[in-house]
Amino acid sequence: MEFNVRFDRSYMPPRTVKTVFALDEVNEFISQGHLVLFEKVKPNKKLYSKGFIFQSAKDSRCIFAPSRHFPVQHSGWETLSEDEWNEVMPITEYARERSLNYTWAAYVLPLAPEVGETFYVEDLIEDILVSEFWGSKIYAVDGIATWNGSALKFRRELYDSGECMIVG
Amino acid sequence: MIKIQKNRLLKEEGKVIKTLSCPLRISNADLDRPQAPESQCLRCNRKVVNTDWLSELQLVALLEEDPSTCLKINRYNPIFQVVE
Repeated sequence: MEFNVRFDRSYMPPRTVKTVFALDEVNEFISQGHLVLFEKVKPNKKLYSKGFIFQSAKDSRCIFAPSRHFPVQHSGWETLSEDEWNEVMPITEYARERSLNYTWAAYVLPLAPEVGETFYVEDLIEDILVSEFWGSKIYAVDGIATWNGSALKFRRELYDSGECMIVG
Repeated sequence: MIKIQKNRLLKEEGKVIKTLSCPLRISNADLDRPQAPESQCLRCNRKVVNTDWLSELQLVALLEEDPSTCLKINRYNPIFQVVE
């Protein structure tokens, strides 16, 4: 599930940093005078989910489950006994599939960025796990960052798990 | 679906079933068992019910019995609609 940063952009909306994934796009922006920052796309171990495909011995139906004994949202725990369910194979899934299709990407800064200027980054290159909901990984897709003259410094606190949570 | 608007939990017909009034900014680190169905707040010692484990009907019944129950709500739980 995608997480968008909770940051009030209605008052003085920041300029937007774009993300590109192809060299011809990079060169087009450079020719227009934009600064471009390359970054490697690296999968985050925390975004992998592991589990198994199990097949029913009774009716051959197949299901995915994280293990033979796992919690179910509204009904406690469920157990898949070895008598009734055969393990077909272990599987691994990655929550942010996009990151498996690229090895690099680049941020394109707006023209004439000022040192200390805050930007909205519409497509985050880094894969960050923010929270989880019943096995679903909630990952960041955007961000707020400040230009320090040589790099973008992201507001990391906006990805705290508490951002997905309300207590009261 | 339960709507969360301006710190109030509302049923679909608009009836307020709870007002969220915790003055502390609580994170998982402030709960003794944050993923469990119930945990204890380490800052005020109150019991906190994790709504991840409840259906909408179960939650409404719980709040009708005691609207002061402390709740932990995941914004991504599909039983809620958070209106900013």
